[in-house]
Amino acid sequence: MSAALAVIGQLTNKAFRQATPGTFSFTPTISGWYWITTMGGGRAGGAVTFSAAGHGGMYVRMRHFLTAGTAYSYTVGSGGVFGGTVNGGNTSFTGPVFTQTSLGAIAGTGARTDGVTTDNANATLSGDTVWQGALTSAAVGTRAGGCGCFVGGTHASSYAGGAASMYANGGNANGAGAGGNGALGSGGGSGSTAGGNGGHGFLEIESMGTA
Amino acid sequence: MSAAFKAAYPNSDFGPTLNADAVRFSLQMLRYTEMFAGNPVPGFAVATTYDGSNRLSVRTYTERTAHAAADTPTRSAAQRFVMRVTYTYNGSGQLSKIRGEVSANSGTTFSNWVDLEGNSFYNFTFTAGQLTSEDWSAS
Repeated sequence: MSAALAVIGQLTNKAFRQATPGTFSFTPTISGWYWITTMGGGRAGGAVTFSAAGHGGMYVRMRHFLTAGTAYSYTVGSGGVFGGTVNGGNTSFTGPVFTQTSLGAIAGTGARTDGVTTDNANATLSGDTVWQGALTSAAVGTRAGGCGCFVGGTHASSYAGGAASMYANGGNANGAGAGGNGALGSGGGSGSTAGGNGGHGFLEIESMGTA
Repeated sequence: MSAAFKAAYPNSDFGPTLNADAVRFSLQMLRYTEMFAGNPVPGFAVATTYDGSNRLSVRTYTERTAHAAADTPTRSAAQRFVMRVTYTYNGSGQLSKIRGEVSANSGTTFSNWVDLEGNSFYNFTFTAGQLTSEDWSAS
């Protein structure tokens, strides 16, 4: 059954999610249009009072025409790590015509291309299928930015919550311990002892049908 | 633990006891081979986990009964055989690697289930999206 499983996977591989950070290649077995969804990594929260927590990653969903047997490279961005690389990594797919990139969240501008840096800004739709990453702030008593059906993390005392992503709530702040971790591209909350990690980005591929 | 089957015949150097041990050992290797291939094995229950794309992730075969007597030379008394099979996928979402690990102490410790060359990974190679070769490897 082992070999049969591999063959079945080859023949029926129409959609999957890659949630492990790193660089990979995707080789379609059928030529046609594919929806590629990319989510950038969220930023980690800090452990300094009134410091910003993590912003959320950018969401992008676009079509590519892929050719069977051709390897297309893609990268899944990591979530920011408290005490390490705090910024979220970009998630990108190198298509035949253009490269699709979802920004990972960084300090200040977050994961946005529209220049908005308003505290606790919610994610906003740009064009058809791009959601600029939600932002957080150092403001006390407010909730970090939300995205779609997910909400930003709550603030606590002098610590800020992480911003949401399209797929997960932001990490909550913690005035008496470590901030909550983000997930699926959302930002980590800040905390008195440690910041929460940002959620890893991911990439989804789904076949729309044959040419 | 090597997956190599033991063939032994009673003679002046290799008596009936050692021969029986070799038969037991080889029988367990046959069971492990079936488990590695993903098949059901009498006397073993299976627990399965899945990854974020609902693909097989880990299948754990556990002997349903802990036998009082030792199963010379592979298992002590009152312990169960366990095999853990781990599935890995490539960037195209295709099954690319299977790894086998075995335990003779009810899953407390695992060791690689290896072939004669010491390989415990069975790799699938895809060329232009097509499965073209399969082979054992150390990683």
